[in-house]
Amino acid sequence: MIPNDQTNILVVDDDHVTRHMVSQILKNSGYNIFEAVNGADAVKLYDEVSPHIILMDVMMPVMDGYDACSKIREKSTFLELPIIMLTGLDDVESVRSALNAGATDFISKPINWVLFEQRVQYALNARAMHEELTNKQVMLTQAQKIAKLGSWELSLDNNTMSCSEELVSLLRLDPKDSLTRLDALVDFSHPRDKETVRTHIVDAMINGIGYKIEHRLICKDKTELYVVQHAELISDRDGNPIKIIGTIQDITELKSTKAIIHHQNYYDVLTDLPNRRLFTEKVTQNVIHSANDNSSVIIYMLTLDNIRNLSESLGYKATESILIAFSIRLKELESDAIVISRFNDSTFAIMSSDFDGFAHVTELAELVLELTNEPFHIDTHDIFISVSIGISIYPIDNNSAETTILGAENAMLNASKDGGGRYLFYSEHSNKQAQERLEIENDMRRGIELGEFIPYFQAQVDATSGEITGFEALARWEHPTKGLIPPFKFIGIAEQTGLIIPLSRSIFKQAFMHTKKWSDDGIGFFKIGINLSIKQFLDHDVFAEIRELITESGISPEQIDIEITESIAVKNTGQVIAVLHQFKEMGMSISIDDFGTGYSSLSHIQNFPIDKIKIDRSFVVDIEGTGKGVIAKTIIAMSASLGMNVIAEGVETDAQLAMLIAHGCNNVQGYFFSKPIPADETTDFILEFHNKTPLQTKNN
Amino acid sequence: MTEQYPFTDLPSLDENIMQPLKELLGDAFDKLVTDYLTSFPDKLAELKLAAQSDDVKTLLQISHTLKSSSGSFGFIRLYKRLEHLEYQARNNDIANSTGQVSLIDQEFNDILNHLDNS
Repeated sequence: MIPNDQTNILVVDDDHVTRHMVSQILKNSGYNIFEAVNGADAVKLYDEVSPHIILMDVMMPVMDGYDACSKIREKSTFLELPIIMLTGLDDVESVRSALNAGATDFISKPINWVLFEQRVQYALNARAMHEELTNKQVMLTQAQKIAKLGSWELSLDNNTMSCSEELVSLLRLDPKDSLTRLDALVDFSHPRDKETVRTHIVDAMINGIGYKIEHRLICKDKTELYVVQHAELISDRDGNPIKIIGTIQDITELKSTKAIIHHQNYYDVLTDLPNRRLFTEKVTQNVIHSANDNSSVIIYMLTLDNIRNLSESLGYKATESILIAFSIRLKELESDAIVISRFNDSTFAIMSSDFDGFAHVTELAELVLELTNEPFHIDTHDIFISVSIGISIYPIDNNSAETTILGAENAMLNASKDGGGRYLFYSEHSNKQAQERLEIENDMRRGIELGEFIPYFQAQVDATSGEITGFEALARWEHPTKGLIPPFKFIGIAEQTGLIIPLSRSIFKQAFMHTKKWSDDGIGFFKIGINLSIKQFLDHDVFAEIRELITESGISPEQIDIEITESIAVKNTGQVIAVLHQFKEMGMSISIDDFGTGYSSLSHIQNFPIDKIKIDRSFVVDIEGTGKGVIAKTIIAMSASLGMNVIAEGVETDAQLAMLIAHGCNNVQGYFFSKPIPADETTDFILEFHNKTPLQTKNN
Repeated sequence: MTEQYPFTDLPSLDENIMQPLKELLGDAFDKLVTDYLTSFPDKLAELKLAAQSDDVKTLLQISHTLKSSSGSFGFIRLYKRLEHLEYQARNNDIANSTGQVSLIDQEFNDILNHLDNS
């Protein structure tokens, strides 16, 4: 409240007696009084004294009270300025005229002096409250504008909505526009957020649950905003919901600030490359991913040789320029599978998750070395500077993200000795292995091209009928100088390098061709088991490839038995199942190889479209004992109960065969009948086998 | 023939108006009431002239002004007689305004007498 001695009151009356009377009474209460003798005088005085209240007679010469009231209202910025008419005219027309002119109240003449001062005081109090409210509204509006906070209100009676000016402004709507339906607000939500926003609003309306959600809005001018929308349900005194009030705050700048802070935390200021923190996080993520899919992560740590000496001679500015220039050259190597980082001072790091063999690893290292072939132009100098690289591979060299990075750093330090300008693997073992693997890889590529990989066939026999039911095709490498190389020496490398795909294609193609020929020559209509690697499922359309090979060879799909290992089935359920179903639909059968070694249960295998389980040889060897042999018997029994066929691998003795037959496993494969043999020997083997029982075959 | 309104049923002075006014005005009361009483005869003379010359506008203006101040002091019968004159002037019904002004004059003299004796 304003003190009386600071409250200006303008008294307007042409009758000097009444005017003096009113003025004197108010003066006695301490107010500052200003008098005007008519309306025109009052309008003039209004500008000079800025009264807090005006008491005005109606009938006056020169300008009456109505006109004066209108003119003062036109001038006043404060709409709630009290103008009280002192009048004996209390008919309806006079009241209407006064209200139209902008009067706020009346005091009838003759004035009731007992109540007079209270009436004035009341009007002043009302004015003060209005003023305070207006100030607060102005402050609130300004605060909302600064905070970019719009608001809306939905009446649950009739679903009508009103919204604040700031919300209209946030949505880039025309100031005269408004949102009158909640749907209209939902429509401004980003298409991907619309459902979330709608769900929360419906939940608030039905269940009375308020919400606070972050989402995006697409404004009328297509600007995208990030907002926080907060809504609460308002109930009446009886607890009945009557409306929902909501606020929408633009946090786009905040988001952008967060993005900047994020960038500062995770990127190097000088080169704008990912910093050590981000690099380490990415390596950790990739290592976890690799552990799941048996892939590898290669870490390269790079240091510019003698950078410290250079810094001492040319200054840190020149050093920074070299680091920036080098980072630009490094970025040329960037790809989806390669992350480049400025790890610290003069050390850069590269992570590659694309392990396509050692040749590929060293190829990237060579490319990095080549980046320093050209000099760096710093000021007027051409500076030649070499780079030393340390390489560490997860999981070959180290078994965690941290140790792989550390391993690469150690290798880098070793590489930088004696002049640097070279790359080294983490360990001598790795270096040697890299060399060996590099040689094998190159040799394998050559071998595949020259058709040195061929299928060997091992018979699968129905022991009770003595019939050959099919063959498993097994890859062998007929090396021109090293002789026959067994699969365990090259399958692992083939899988790591991706060579498994052309290698398998070659084997399948030959196997199908021989199988078809045996059919065509009347030697027999056999099933042919082929082994699929996980690489073929994940990185390659193996179904399309086999379908193509079937067409090419003319073999019937029913002759093909797809063998996958138990570990493939366990780790890659969804994707593998989908492809297996394609094989099944085409008429091929599916077998689980090496069953019992991969910790899966028969109930898990039930999820796969499996026809046959192949009991691993390690269980067959002991089938006569009480150890692993018990497992083989259990697998046979359970497979039978699940309606799956069983075939035992690695059958070598008639005792094992007898035991398997006794337990209901009639399908067998192993040295007891035949070791894997090349195609030309297989034809003779089939012809010879036809006239003998299984036991006779072995005894002869 | 316009009816006269002497309002003889009303008191000349309403103490319920004057007493609080005295208290509110304090020392200024005497000066204001003197001011009123000394300026009234001149206004009354103007009223008489206006009544005689059928000057409706002046009748309206002066009766309104005198009515306001008279009522404010609590001279209630005078207030009513002035109000009636103002009403007649506003309705352009001033055939008996001279008689009405005489009643006002009479009442003013009664007030003077009353104040002299109090």
